Amino acid sequence: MVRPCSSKHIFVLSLCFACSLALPWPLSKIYSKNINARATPATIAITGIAAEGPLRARLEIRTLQQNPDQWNLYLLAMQAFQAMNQSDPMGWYQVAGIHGVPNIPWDNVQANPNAGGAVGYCTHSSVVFPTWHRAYLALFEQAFYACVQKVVATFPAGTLRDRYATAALALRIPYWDWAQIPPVGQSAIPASITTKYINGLVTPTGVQNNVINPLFRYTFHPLNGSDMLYNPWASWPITYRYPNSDNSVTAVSQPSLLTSVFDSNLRSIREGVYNMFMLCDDYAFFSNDAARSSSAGCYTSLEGIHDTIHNFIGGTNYGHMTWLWWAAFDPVFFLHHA
Amino acid sequence: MREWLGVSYVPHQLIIFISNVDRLFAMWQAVYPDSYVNATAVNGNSYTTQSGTILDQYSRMTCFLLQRMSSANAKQLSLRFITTPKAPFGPAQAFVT
Repeated sequence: MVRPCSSKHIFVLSLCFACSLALPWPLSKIYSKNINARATPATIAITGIAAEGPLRARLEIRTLQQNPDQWNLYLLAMQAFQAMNQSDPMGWYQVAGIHGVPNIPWDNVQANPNAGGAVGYCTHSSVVFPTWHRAYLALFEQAFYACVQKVVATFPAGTLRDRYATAALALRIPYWDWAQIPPVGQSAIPASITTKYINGLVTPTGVQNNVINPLFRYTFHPLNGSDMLYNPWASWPITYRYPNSDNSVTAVSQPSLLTSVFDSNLRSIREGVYNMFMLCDDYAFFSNDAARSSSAGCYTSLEGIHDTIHNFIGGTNYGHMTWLWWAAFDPVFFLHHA
Repeated sequence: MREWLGVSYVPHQLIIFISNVDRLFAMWQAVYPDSYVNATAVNGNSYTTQSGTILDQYSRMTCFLLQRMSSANAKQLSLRFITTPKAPFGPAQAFVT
């Protein structure tokens, strides 16, 4: 399923995943950006996790969860990452903002004055879709790992800190394998992503219960409506998945509806992956959703399959994951892309 | 891929062990090592790239400027960042060229 671009949201017609061919609106006339800022050199090196030692695996999220220390540390680090100052270039807000809004430069890399005022550095519907997002993930993982190390240091010296320091060595961002047949009785979307509260979180000040799950949503702190450009995102203080309303400040995510819709479509997702591996042998067709005259038999693409995941999670009322501008604020974005 | 695996038919369950975007990309690279970023005009603007610009594997990707990140570099990034412990492919760094 590829969500069609509804006329209901015509102003963001070009922004939904899989619909970027429907460009372009004269966005530069809608808002402006200071593209004449004095050139300042970039300062942030994308190194990934530059740790000594062997390569460590990114684990499937359900596998990571089986290691209690790593899982606890992962949640604490995600919490800390999201709690960073929204003006910090290596904090959640600014890293997520590279993909879309806020419409400002990151690391002094200025807008192209000939690019029509487009929002977001992300590249879609092009051959650099896979490679750009790979570099983006490396940056995300680097920023995440800085948080892991900060979190470990907040534990008082002793056995517990030593345990988490050990767990940190092999901790990498997990991925969500959305094409996997889930364990019997479970959804293809792991409960660790769709559960609002977590219990038994070990913190430096003791065990906490009823903590908002950092994999469930991002809470803007504060929400800056002008950064988000349009409603309802400009008035949504948290990220939503499959919300029950598209323009209300009282919208709520509907995780149970999302999981049932997703599970009903799991087979078609799996078949798409299968088709891609068997028949998409040319990078030009494999890599992106704009290669419309596909090679014989190759009816999808990596980006095309990826689009459907975005659209399922965003749902019928267009939660954050539906649109390029807002998608990366949702913590599931990086589980999807890893 | 069928040739690569030496069989004429590959059942779903053999292939679809692992699937999300960057990992699928790494797996695909392993299966089809000779096809990579083809020089192509981009469709639509991004913040830094004008629609119609021809991009190839050496084009610098923004906003990752400091070490001149390109698709060619990202191909090697997989050696450092992408690992896949599960069957059937084994660790990704072993098969990404």
